Amino acid sequence: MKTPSKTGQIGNAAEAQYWRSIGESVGELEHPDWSDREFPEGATELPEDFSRRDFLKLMGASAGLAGAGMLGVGCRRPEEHIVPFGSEQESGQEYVHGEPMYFATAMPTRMGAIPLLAESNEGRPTKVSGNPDCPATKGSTDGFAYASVLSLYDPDRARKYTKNGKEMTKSDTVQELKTLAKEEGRTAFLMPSANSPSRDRLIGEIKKRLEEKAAFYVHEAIDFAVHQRAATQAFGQPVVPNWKFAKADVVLSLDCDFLGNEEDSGLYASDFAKTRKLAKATDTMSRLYSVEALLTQTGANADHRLRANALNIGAVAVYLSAKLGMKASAASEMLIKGLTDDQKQWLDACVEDLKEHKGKGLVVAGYRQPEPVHVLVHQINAVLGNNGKTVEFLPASVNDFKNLKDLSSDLGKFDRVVNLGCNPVYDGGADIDSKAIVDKTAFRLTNFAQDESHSPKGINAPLAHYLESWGDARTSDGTIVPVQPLIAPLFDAMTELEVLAIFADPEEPQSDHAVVKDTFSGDDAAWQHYLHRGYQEGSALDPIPVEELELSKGLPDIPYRQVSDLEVVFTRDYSVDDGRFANNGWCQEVPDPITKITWDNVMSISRKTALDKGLENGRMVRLEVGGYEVEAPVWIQPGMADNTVSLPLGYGRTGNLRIANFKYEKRPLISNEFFRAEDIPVGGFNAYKVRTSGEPNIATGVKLMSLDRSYPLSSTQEHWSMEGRPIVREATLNEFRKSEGKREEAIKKGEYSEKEFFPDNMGIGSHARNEGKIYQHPYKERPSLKSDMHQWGMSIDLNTCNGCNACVIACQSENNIPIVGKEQVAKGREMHWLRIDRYYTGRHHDPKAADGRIKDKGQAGDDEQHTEEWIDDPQVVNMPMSCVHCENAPCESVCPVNATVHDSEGLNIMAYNRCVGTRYCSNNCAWKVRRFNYFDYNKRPLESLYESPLTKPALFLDWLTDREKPSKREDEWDLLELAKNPQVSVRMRGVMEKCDYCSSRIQAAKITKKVKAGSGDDVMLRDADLKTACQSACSADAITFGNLLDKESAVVRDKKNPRTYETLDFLDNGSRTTYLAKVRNPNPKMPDTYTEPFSSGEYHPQEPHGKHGGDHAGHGNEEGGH
Amino acid sequence: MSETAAQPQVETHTPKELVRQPLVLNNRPLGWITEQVAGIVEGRMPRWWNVAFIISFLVMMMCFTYIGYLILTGVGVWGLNHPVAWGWAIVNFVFWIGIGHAGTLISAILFLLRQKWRTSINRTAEAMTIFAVICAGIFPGIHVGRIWLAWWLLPVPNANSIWPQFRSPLLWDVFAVSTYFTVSLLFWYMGLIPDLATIRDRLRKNADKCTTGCEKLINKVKQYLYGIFSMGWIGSNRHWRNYEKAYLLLAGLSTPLVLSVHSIVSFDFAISQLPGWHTTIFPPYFVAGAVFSGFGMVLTLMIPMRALFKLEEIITVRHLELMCKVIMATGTIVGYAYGMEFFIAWYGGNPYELYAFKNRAFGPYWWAYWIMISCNVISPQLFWFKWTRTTPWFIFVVSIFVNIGMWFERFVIVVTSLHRDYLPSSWGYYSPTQVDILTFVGTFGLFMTLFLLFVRYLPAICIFEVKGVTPQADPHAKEGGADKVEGGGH
Repeated sequence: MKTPSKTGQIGNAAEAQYWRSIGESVGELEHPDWSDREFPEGATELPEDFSRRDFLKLMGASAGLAGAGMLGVGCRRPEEHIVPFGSEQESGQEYVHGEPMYFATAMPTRMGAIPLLAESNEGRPTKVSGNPDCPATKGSTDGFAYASVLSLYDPDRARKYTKNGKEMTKSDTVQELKTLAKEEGRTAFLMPSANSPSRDRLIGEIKKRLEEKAAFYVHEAIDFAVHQRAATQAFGQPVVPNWKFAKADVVLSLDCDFLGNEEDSGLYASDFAKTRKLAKATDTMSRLYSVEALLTQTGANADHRLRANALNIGAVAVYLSAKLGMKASAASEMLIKGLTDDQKQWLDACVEDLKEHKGKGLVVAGYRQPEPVHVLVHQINAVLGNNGKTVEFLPASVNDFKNLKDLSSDLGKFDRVVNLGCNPVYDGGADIDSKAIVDKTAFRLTNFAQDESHSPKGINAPLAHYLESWGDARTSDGTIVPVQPLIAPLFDAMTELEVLAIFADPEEPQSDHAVVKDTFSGDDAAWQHYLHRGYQEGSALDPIPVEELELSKGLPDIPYRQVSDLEVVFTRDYSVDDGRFANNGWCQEVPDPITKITWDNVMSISRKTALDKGLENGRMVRLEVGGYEVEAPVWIQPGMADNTVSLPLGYGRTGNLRIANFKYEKRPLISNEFFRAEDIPVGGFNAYKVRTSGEPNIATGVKLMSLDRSYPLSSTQEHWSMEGRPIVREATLNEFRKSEGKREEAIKKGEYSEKEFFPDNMGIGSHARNEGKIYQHPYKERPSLKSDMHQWGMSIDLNTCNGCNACVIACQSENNIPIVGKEQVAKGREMHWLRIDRYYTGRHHDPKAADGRIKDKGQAGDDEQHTEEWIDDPQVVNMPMSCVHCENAPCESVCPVNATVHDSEGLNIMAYNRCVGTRYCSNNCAWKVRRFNYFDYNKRPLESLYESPLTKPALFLDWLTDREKPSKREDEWDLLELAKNPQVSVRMRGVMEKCDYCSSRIQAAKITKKVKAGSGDDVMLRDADLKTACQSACSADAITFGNLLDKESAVVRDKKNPRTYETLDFLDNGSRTTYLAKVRNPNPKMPDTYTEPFSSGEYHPQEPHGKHGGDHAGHGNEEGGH
Repeated sequence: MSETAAQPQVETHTPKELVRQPLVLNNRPLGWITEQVAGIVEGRMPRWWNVAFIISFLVMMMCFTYIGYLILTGVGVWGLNHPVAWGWAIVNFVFWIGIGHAGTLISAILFLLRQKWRTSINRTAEAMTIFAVICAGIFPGIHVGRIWLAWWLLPVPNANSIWPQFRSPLLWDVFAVSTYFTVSLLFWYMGLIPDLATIRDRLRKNADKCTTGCEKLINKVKQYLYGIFSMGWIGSNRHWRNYEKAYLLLAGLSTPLVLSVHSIVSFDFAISQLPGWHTTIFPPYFVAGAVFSGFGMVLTLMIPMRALFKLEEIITVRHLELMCKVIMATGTIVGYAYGMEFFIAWYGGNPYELYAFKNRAFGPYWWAYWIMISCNVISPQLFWFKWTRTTPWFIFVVSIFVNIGMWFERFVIVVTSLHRDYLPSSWGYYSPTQVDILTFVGTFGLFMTLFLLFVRYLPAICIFEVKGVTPQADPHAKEGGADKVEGGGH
């Protein structure tokens, strides 16, 4: 009989590689002694007169016990108790097989953490969402948080402890570490950035114990600490700024991508969205100015956007300060000369607006800008009276960690390096001798078994994922949140805290759990409460009153840097961060929100720069900066500043990373002259190759050399223009207010006609809409089909959606949506049920005017649009698009086998088992939201989708032995299976799939509600009972979903919003998902102001918008007139 | 139609009135016709047949291999994507179904219209119809994602009481195509019975000529098989009476089918809401196109066949010319339909529709559109000139163009409409893969294999009907005209 080991884990690791559960820790599940017997009681003692009935009873019992036994014997659980999320009264929540449980935890980030609720199914985390109760973030998250679940099950994670290449156990490693901790000599600790009270405490203890013999270095490729450093410098005391976008009426972003690239972008998006909600003519709305070099998500959502080189942002700040009456140094004056008159005019008007909104404005600078720019921005905010109002300053812990560059120069002073999870060879920078650091590394915690910094020398230990570790963190407002494990470490991995604890006290090291618990001040009940709620109440830091903050005197010197021909901007990638998510398939396949490119990064340049340099889309270019060079494909990006080259980080990884470092072979059945096998390069280029520690964000002195080859890029959206179609409807705030005023008047007079008012008066929708009686609604024909309890609907606010992709990944995670690989994306076979359409509109751009014909003839994509002038300063619109659940669904009537049908609650649902895959439904869907499994994406490895028993007979033998056997590699399959949501079926090849409004969640919520109601009749689902995955993922609160029959629901409220419209409403399909039109808030005094959004000009190219009334209201096409 | 070929030297005779060309040249005797047609079946096949058969067979096997690969791997081996979820498979399906229209039209409609010239081509055309429908039938079967469940499209009673969805045009297709196939097959087979009996009888007569035991055995087996399939036909008056009645009935039954099949196939598109598909002109336009392409294929097959088997006197230039006229007429209808589609797209005022058509002609698939226009609209207009209609090699070339053009018509309809529809975000491009292309090529192997087997084992020309239109067959007409007599007998 196996006995519980000291760690409380039963069974041995080899036996139960993956199946690990939280088992008894969550309930009071006994560890019954039958579970230790090989056979259940009675099985070995069959009586002589054993009847058939007895046998059946026994078999039934055995089956039942075998199920229960899984919990008792086969699993490994953390010894320490974790506490499920929920209200206090329900904390005794019992584990019910098949029902998901929720735990509050947090994903640590560089400067803080994202508080999360993790969903655990059968003892394994399958999905996370924001912790809505945590006051710091109120449930806001970003896409990375959703994708992090898949990283837990990454098959390339380090699985073994090794020393000099030899495998050993974890306990041996702990012993080795203890020896190491006691050894003489100086140790350098190299750590990723974190904001964890426990880690800080342990570091303090180590310092106390080892004194001079230990030094700590923090390395992050993306340095968000600049905000804290700059604020500390500006105010002369350790403070960190905390932006309050919810309170700002006017925001000016100086290269600050607070809606995308900055840390806590989810929180900022949530705050910012609060200022962009409109329902009535009297509602107010904030205004966003953006000055930037790259087209970022923030710029894409700005009301006014100014293109400026990244190096000139400092000049912009100086110019602003001068306009505000601050005296700049002579050197800074030089900078201003770098600005053009147009730019100055723009800034003049902008600064007037800021002055008019003193105390209600906010100027922010992005992490890519150097510290002096940030300091200057603090001073500007001070002059504008914004400090303390729209930006608060919280006390920061004194951070005296040095960085990788320091370690590189100090290396000689140390006898060994302990690496707690950094990958310096990959992201250290081109000018740092990271190999030397690796050579000196005695111990390394590593995420991947074989990454760039891997060396067999020394001890290598697998690093635990945050969903399998104990820890804690401070969020951006200082609230302390726990990181609690949902599962015992899959590969017995170690946490950073465990290692530090050994160094803090090698004799009796604390477990990570004990470390966290010790750091937490409070009794057991408080500890329970802390874990249970997922945050420590009242731990938020009080902002320092603005009177106590004294700005440093004098303006900072913005270094004057020669603006040469070209500048490069290194940027955190929207999809893979700094490379940490490069091996995550969901992140690789999610389209970049701006370029819509998957699986690769690209060197974005503007149209003009491309013309100057003679480059075209997809052309490979050799880029040289400071003696280092890299080869990268070119992408002509609308809205880019001229002479700026963007280099997103995080790609071009090497090592044993099967997703990041993929090798496809496009192999036809027969290869010959006509059908050649070709390798498709994937995974992008490594921008770190040309990044130096001196110029980590913006570099100059760039040389471009066009190479004579091109690179295939997989973009999910190749066409940029809406072609003058009223798909995303927009208005300016003025237009909206005018229209609303008229509407109210018309309603009063009783002359109200929908199609005369925004947004219905745009496009051809107005024609069919009011006469939309061509098709009878099926429910009208047979009212008995309709449920009078629930009718589902969704509303998406295009004004607050910023296109961040969090919903896309959350949907992928919730619905077991497979990834398909670069080649399949290039074919247009991506599987995302929810996609974000992004369109560009240009001033005076008339898509139909282009010689009156369709110009582009590109094979894949529209090559000519890259050279058209209107893309220089485009307006951007984002539109989340998934199945709109038509009332008269065109897909349903054409399915020959009844596989897609309407249910009584208005859902257009797929019966996957019934689908034979004619794909007719997809053809007839106007929104093209249906997704077809062209291959067995779930079971087949991406690199050999085209293999079959005909090309590889071994597959046939596999099939003979086991019909269900996947051809994915076993180690991969075992893990990927765990990441699946058991509440949603996994589709096989040949089956159509699409958004079903998370119908599994709807059903689960109904059951819960019924159980709760008991004999009562409160069984109607309300907003609080149910959220779809995309809805809960949306930090900007752009998606509302709910019961249309519940008159108090948010979706009913939103659908009454005058901005509501249906896409393609003239088709009379009656979509249940409606959109709230986008409203822009231009400043009429700006030189680039506009009275109507650029898209309106596309609808009515001949005449100004608003005069196109009468019968032809919004016909949308001059050629289409009668 | 009247025959005035009374004089033996009809060519030298200068007629006072316009003389119809005879349907069988050179005033051949009835026995000669039997000998000429049955001889193909009885004799050894020429070398070209063996070569052609081996090639066709290999190409057919390639088709099956690719289908096997498709089934084992997934529909993804084709070039399909979102938004173009139907590609070559559906194009090929409609193409082959269209080809399958000529046979039944010739045998049924022309029969009802008493067009006697049909007699020498109807058998081959009908065979072609059946083989084309077989080729067509492959594609809807294999194009679905889960091929092993394709039978769910059939209304099979089952325990779950799930029926197919009767609102779906794909289901209508199932019924339309299977009905068409069944009726065409019956029609064809019934017409074969008297000729099969002829061959059976001739085999019995020729049994004495067999020298080796092997030959004797083969002769016996053949007698047996032809005997079974001729169903005891002895050419009695009663047999002929029943035959004529049944034939008339089946012709009546087939006639609406000729019109319905392609109308229903066109519903696959017309019922949808896709710009470029959603048009009411589709049913007549598809039927005209189908007849157009069917006659194109009949000519493509017939012209080499009549030369290789020396059947020029039975399948005369006049036959070819008449078929050319049908091609010209239907080609003009098709051209009109193309123009009308554009007009309605403009006149209808629907910008999405207008875009779809502009995109066809000038978008990324402009080449497909202009191939279609030049093959289908321009090339049949050449038949206004007599020389073009009476020069077999030239007709052959044009018939190939017609085949190409009609394939492209379906490609244009299916692909260009799908690749750019309502939301520009979902626009895409479709290109076929090796599997797409070679599966389609492979169906020609299947088609030709079946066709070669047909000419090898069955009388390719309806012996008794051709005899019925010869002057000799008319015992009543003073000048030996054949116009009063239906079906001559021998």
